[in-house]
Amino acid sequence: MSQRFWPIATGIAVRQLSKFARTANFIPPLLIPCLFLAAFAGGLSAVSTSAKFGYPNYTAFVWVFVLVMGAVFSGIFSSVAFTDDLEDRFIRRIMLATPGRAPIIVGLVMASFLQAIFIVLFLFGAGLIAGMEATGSAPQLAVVLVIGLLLNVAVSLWGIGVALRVRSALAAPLMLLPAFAVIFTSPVYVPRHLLGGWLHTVSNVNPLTPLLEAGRGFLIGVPFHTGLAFGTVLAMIALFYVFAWTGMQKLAREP
Amino acid sequence: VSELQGQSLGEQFGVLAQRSIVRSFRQPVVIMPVLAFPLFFLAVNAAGLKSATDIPNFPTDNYLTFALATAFIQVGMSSVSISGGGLAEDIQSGFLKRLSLTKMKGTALVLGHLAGTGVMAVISSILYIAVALIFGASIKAGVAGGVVCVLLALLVALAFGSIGIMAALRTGSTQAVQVVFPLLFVLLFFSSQSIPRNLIDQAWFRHVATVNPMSYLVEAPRSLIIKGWDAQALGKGVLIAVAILALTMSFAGGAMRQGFKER
Repeated sequence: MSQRFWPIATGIAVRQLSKFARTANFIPPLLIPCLFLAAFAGGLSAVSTSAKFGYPNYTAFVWVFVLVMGAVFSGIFSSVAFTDDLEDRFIRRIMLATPGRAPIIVGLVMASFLQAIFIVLFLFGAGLIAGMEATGSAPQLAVVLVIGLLLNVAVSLWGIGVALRVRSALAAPLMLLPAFAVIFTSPVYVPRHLLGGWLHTVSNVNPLTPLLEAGRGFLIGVPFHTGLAFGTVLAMIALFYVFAWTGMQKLAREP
Repeated sequence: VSELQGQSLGEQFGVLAQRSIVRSFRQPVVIMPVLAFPLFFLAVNAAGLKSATDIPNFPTDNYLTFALATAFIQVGMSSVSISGGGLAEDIQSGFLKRLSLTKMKGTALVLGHLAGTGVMAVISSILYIAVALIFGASIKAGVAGGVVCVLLALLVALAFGSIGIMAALRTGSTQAVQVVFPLLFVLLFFSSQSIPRNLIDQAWFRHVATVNPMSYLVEAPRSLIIKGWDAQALGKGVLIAVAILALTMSFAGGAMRQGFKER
């Protein structure tokens, strides 16, 4: 690893973070999950009255989905902000001055990650205010937040990969729509055993399902699917890192 | 523009309506989300909230039947971007400025821009009904009820489309028009779209849903689908849609007259 790796990565992260602050980039990833929390916890809590539901508190159940949504939105909005640098060719000038592609990718992900820490903590507070019963121990609750943050890293890498291929703000729907499809085909409203037909089948192979179920387990102090959840999110990070890196290589090869 | 010189209101409307319809259908980026998004959420909610039908007194044992009405509202919401976005583009490109030099009437302009969304709403809502019926939904009010559902979807699309037109005339910016869509989405989320109002568990949410006009727009077609003919639910839905249409049209008229004077 070059000695200039961390200074470059940190410089890019600081630049991105100041851009987020200037453009209020953090507002949608904060606001949209809060709206979902209010709408679902308020409007759908009646579905948890059935004995088959099997989770003690509907607000807590929905909150883990809200955490996932915050992590995903934070990653995507950060990547959309990165498209500015591609449109005005700033990133090409940075590439000329850096020894490799990795510090650029790491810097972009660092910025998104730091933004996500703020968002995740804010959402945790919002959940508690909304009546979420988090009965897990402090380390268990920390694991829930770590799952959200790791997911943010994976989604940021996905967004960077898409941005590097489209190279304009028009990449936003291409980043968001697949993420939306994956989120809503996981057990969002009710546990997996209560999902009907095709959605039950899809949620069984949906990579977000173990993350949601592990998060919901740790939140109430009943660890569940821990290995599978971390294995899945780490595999997503590895896969999307390759996706982002090849996008960077593609950009470097073009005149 | 030359086609509009010296024509009657009906002829002017015809030219602009044709242009609006052709423009809407020429853009797959516009059509696909309108068709696909409500169907996706219909499928997800029907399977994801199937267990909601176990709630005591839930009005149907098939959640797909219950959720169908929401799809009609979602297609109406898309009309904000289609009609308002189209008009904002015309303002930004200077097309409206050229139109203002002709004898074109403001009514023809507004109605013409709504035509594309109207056609889209009718086609989409027929598609949603067909898909829902194939997958086991039913309409209690029968074929006539289905036709009224399509007409309600059209009315809602015209009402929301006119909000888009008002936003376009007031701001002249496509981005400002796009802001309206998420606001309507929030209103839909805080309505009785997922659970009947009387079965909502949380008192605060029940109150919000009760004062939210979106609830009544959803409940009008839902009453036809689940209960049959319910004059009260239909009346409230139609009244709200017509009120939105009348209000936004009067604002749009004022904005247009002012804009034309400036031009």
